[in-house]
Amino acid sequence: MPDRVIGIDLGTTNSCVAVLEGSSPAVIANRGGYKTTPSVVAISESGKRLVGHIAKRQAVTNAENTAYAVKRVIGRSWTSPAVQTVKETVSYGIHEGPHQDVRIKLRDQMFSVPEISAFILQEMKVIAEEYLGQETPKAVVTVPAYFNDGQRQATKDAGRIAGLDVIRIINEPTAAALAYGFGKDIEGKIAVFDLGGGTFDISLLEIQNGVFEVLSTAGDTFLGGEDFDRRILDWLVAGFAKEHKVDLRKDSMAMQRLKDAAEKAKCELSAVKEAEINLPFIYSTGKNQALHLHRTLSRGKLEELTLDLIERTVQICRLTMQDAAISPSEIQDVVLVGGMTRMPKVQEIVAEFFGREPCKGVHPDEVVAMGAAIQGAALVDSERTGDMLLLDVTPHSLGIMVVGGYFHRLIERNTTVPTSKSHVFTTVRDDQTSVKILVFQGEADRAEENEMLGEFVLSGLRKAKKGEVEVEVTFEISADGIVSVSAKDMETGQLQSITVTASSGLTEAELEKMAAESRDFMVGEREDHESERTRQQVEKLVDEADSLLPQVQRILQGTPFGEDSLTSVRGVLEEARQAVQSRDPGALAQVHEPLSRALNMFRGLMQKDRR
Amino acid sequence: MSSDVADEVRRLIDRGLARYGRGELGDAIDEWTRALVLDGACTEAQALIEFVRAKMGEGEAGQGGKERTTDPVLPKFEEEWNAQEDTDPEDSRTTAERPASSDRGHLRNPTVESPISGILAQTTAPDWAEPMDEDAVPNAPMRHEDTRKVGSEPHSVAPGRVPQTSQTPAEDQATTSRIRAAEFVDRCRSAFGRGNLEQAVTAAEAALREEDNAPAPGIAEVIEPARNLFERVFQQFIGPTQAVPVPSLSPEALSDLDLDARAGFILSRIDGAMTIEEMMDVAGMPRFEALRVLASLLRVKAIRLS
Repeated sequence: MPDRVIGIDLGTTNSCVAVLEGSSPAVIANRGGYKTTPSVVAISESGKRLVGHIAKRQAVTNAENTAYAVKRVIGRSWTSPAVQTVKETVSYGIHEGPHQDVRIKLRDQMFSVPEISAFILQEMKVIAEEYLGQETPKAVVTVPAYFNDGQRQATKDAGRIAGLDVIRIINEPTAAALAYGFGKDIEGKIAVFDLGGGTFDISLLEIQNGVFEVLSTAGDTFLGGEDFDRRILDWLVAGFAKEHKVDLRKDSMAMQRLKDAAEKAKCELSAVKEAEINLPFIYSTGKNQALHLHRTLSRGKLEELTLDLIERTVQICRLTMQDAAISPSEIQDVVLVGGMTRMPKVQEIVAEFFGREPCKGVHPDEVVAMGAAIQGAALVDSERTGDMLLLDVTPHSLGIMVVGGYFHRLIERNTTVPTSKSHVFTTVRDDQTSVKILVFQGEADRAEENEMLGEFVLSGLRKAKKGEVEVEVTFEISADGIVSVSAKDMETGQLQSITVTASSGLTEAELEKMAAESRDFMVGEREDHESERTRQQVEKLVDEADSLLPQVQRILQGTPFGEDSLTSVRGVLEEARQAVQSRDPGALAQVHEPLSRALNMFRGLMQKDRR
Repeated sequence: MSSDVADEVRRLIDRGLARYGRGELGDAIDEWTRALVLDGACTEAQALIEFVRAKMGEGEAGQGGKERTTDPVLPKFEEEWNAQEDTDPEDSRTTAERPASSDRGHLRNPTVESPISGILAQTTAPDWAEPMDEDAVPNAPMRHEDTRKVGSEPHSVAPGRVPQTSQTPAEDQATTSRIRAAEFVDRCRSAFGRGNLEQAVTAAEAALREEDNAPAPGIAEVIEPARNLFERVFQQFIGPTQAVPVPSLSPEALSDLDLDARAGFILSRIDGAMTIEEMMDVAGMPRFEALRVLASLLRVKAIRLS
């Protein structure tokens, strides 16, 4: 039987894991019964690592030590504008790493971004393994379509640290389209409108003969459900300040409750017209008085508070359609992805823009993970999924720097991969014997404003006047997204080339070390779990023995062996108490058996006495 | 008296209180005696020695019976204490056999009606912990006007047993808080030793509330040595940390309770899935405080463990 492959949607705010069960994808619920897990990691005051819901529930009260939305900075260099923007907006510490990469500080520990993502992936892996009852090292992980090579590589590295073999990285809209089209005979262009917790993406795809091709993609990495929550939160804070003259922003516990309540109310308003926000004892005044917050938020008010956010998504859609030269009428269906698309106003505006009701047949929170699971199964067992071919596009233009520092594009963005493009350049100086090829990725006209992927030199050119010697530069992108660039002297045929190896900013040694630490952590977690269980058992036994001791003392009073036995039992009890107190796993394991024996003796004596 | 001597006297009094808190009554008296050697006019040390001696005598006298005398310095805690002891399984006496003071159903009410005031960090001491006028009839139903704030009235403590010093009202109040807190610590330890966790939690909470309400410089010297004890009490009262707390009162009933924002926050974290151990991680407050709040919520049955 082929390996099971899990599909993971590693989201900015929430993650989801799915697997193909039989011939249909199934999303796996976590231990709390939720099908999505917040992409939040924290280190608690006691140094414990918290992931998912538990981390989210303390995110405001432990803001400095809670990492969220790290996807916005994964695979980016320290100097990138996105990192600098994120640095100003998040509550946790973002620092420069040893390779110009980004590091995140939680408590006193520094973590690389792939490490933080790995903690989330590890949690998803555990969820899947608990459900499947077997090790599932293979996974397909999704990323936004605009992710560059470095970001994709960093996501792969995160998987490796988490103990996963990421067999394929696929684009989120492609995954959504896969799940949407799975088992259906769909042909034509579709739009994937993805409004998640932290980001917005719009992608246009073409499905033909089982081939999924991304035609165009765009978005806003700082627009999502959390912005909607913040508007509600602001409204609540302002209302409370007006009523009680108290600024709740200064109280982290109150803010945590407000944030949770805002999100809950927002979700409720997708189904009902009014949501009650009831937060008793939200604030204690210096006069020993507890204040309560009680407000009703209507759907209309929510729409009023967030209308500009919704309109921003439409503007981005309009630009993307223009960019791809596709009119809304050409779109056959609109697939909604992300929890925010449940909001009736969002659905209304999407329907208005595309001139058709969006598809409601797929679950917006789960569709991406389901698509990843379908792709995973297809990679190891095509019999179960039928013939499927995913064709992705390059999210950014690729080219080289030319004279004057300008960026010459060889491969335009949104070009379907695999692809290859060549262009002939000439020398720019007399007697120039070598050319330096600087490879860039991006959309800016100035090369330096784009991301440099690599460089190499083609030497041994014939000495001649400028413009006489011709050099052909060829870019190739394989189906796996590997970029190769070559430069050929057209006269001599001499060739130089490089393969652009994406880097997450971590060295091989660092990666290996992090992966080993991650394995150790999982082993430690299991041991801690075992030890805690033993501690609780011992504690329970001590309590029971303590409660029986006075009666046992009475029964044994005057018997020749009584005092000796009791002394021995008291010793065991004392040892057990110390072991419980110290939480020493060895001591707990050691004392468990003699304690059980002592208790059995107590129970036996009591039984005998009753007769 | 130089400020150095005054400081040393203060230090000795505090050390004595700490010893008293640990149940080392003889050593406590020694510390206060040293304070008196330095400052013969220190009425606080005199009052404390007298109080503890009386208590020691009371303990000896009490060997043959369980009845406690009502101490004017700590009277109403006694009321609840005795009210709780009514249900003490070790107390085999019937209600009829108990002294008349056992008939205190009306005195239990304050703790029943406002049972969670203990976790109001900034609240004043609850009614049952207020000192009572010595002239008041101990067994008579308590009227609201019988209660007074500690140190708010000159006759809030018994003449002759109160430090008649030149201390400011705030200092007086701090001293009274120290004595009361030390007494609660003592009671907590004793109840814990007997395995009566509910009484131990009540006493620990009362001691901590004294600290919450004590004016500067506070009563840390009494509370700090007892923190480990309190933590053990709270932990044992709560039970296994893998248990899952669930609300046991309706939102309406909850809002009738006298809670503070910390308790409100802890209650808001309860989702029916998170364990006690996990609650500690999301509580947003030190572990000790979270345990304290959870123990109080359990004590008043605002939550239960599943």
